[in-house]
Amino acid sequence: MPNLNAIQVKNIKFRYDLRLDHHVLSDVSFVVEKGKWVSIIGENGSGKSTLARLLVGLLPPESGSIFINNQLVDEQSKGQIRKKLGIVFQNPDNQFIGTTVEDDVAFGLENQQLSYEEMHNRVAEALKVVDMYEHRAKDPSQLSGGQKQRVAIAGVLALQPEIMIFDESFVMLDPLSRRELLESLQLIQAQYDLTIISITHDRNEAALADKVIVLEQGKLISEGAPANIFAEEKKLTPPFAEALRRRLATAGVSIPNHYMSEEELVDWLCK
Amino acid sequence: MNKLMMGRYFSGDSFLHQLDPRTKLFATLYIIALLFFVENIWGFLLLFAVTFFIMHQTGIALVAFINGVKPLIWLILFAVMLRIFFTGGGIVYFRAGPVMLSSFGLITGFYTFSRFVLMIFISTVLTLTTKPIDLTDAIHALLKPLQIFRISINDFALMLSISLRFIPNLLDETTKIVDAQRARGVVFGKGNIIQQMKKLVPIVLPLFASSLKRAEELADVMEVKGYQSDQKRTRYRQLKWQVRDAVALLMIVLLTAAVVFVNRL
Ligand SMILES: Nc1ncnc2c1ncn2[C@@H]1O[C@H](COP(=O)(O)OP(=O)(O)OP(=O)(O)O)[C@@H](O)[C@H]1O
Ligand SMILES: [Mg+2]
Repeated sequence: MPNLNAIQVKNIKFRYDLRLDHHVLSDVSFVVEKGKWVSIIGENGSGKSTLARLLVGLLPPESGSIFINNQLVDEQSKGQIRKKLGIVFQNPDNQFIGTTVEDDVAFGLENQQLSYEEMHNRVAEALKVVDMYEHRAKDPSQLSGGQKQRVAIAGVLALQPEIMIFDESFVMLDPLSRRELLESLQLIQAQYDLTIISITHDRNEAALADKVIVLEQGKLISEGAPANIFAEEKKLTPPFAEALRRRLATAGVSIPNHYMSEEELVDWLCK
Repeated sequence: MNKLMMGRYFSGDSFLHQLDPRTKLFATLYIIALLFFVENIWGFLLLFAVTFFIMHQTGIALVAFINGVKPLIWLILFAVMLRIFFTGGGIVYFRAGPVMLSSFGLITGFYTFSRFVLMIFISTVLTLTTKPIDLTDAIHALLKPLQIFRISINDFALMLSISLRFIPNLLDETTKIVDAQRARGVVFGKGNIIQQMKKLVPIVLPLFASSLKRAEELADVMEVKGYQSDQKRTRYRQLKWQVRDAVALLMIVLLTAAVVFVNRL
């Protein structure tokens, strides 16, 4: 089924303070197909984290509707829907519930009433993906920011949801680990046909997505494949490969005059 | 400040470290109760010997235990003095109105002192050899019978472990705010009591605000991870009863027998 929608957002509006006229999100609509990787980009305060909170039903839209797997998200359905949905919030410090790394990863599993063996298997597996297995007995005060982010990611992986939302969850990782983790996530995504939404400021990460959504002051200003988005929206800082291509072009090198992904650029340069 | 609550656990792999926290909590409470059944000097000498043996077994330096007594020393001395100077009987060495010094008073004073010190030592053994989380588990297990009165033990245990988990964060934050206020020129610990209280306001308020925000975010995380109070949950940590726990309990039984025997002397 190619056009099964994992997420469908229809004309949502939202504001934190009903006394103010200013909407944090206004008239946002988009669709995320099952099994795709979607990046959401936009300036600070453009409403990305707010959107993520709406998607998991922590905040209700003022108008408009959100469907997860074709099921409307509302007060009644959100408990059921959250079993298919995992989210890593932006601040890794305030989402560490357990007293140790492994307890924290296990928290959601305990709520799902998994058996003891199943929990231990899943916790170990998830911690290995994020490379925190050796640190499983540590408590949060002994961890760096990036390590806490990894634990939060493991907490969602262990739940094995169909849809995962990451709110700037890779920012504190060093470049090498970030690359490795993104690669592992892509493998897992392909293997289980997962849908991933990643909110990010990292253009190189966004360039890897199937689709990029750009928010500006609460409005969705454009969406599409990274190639189109970064070629059309000249305001956006492009990913490294595209930036390099443009610099080469202005320097008079006869490079093709269209967006290039990192691989395409490397291929072209090596010719 | 961190030392006060959290830094108390000393990692190690002694017999006592490896004991099940439930055994340790039970044994600690039991020995404390036993202290009140001891009736003569031989009993206290026995318990001192046993306590020092246990302390030695932890492999932790004596200083750590003495440090546990220090903050309470004035309270202890006060209680001991009351005992010594207001208890009559035996040979009276000295008397001035209600105040007196008697052989009986000296002995009860010694008993009181020993009870306090031993109580602190033995509970320090518990906190030094048991991680806070294991202690929470033990409390959870010990309170379990209360469930028949429909008291939600699971929520209570989770609350306890989350509070433990956030104590260091709170202390860190306090230090940060105090430093920030100092950098703005606030001098703490000067002026009269009202002035000093006023200076605490810019510390307490931000601390309160940040704690509320933290609690809110934490509640969100718990919610999306499917936590509901009063719902059944499985447990990732499961305590396992082992041979050494049986050995420890056997020793407790022997100790009880010894105390009963010594009391007759
Ligand atoms: N709890 C809240 N109460 C009131 N206003 C809020 C709240 N959280 C966010 N806002 C406001 O909503 C707007 C969007 O915030 P949001 O956190 O969604 O931005 P963001 O795109 O995630 O930014 P960043 O890149 O910095 O994470 C901001 O103007 C912010 O001030
Ligand atoms: Mg954000």
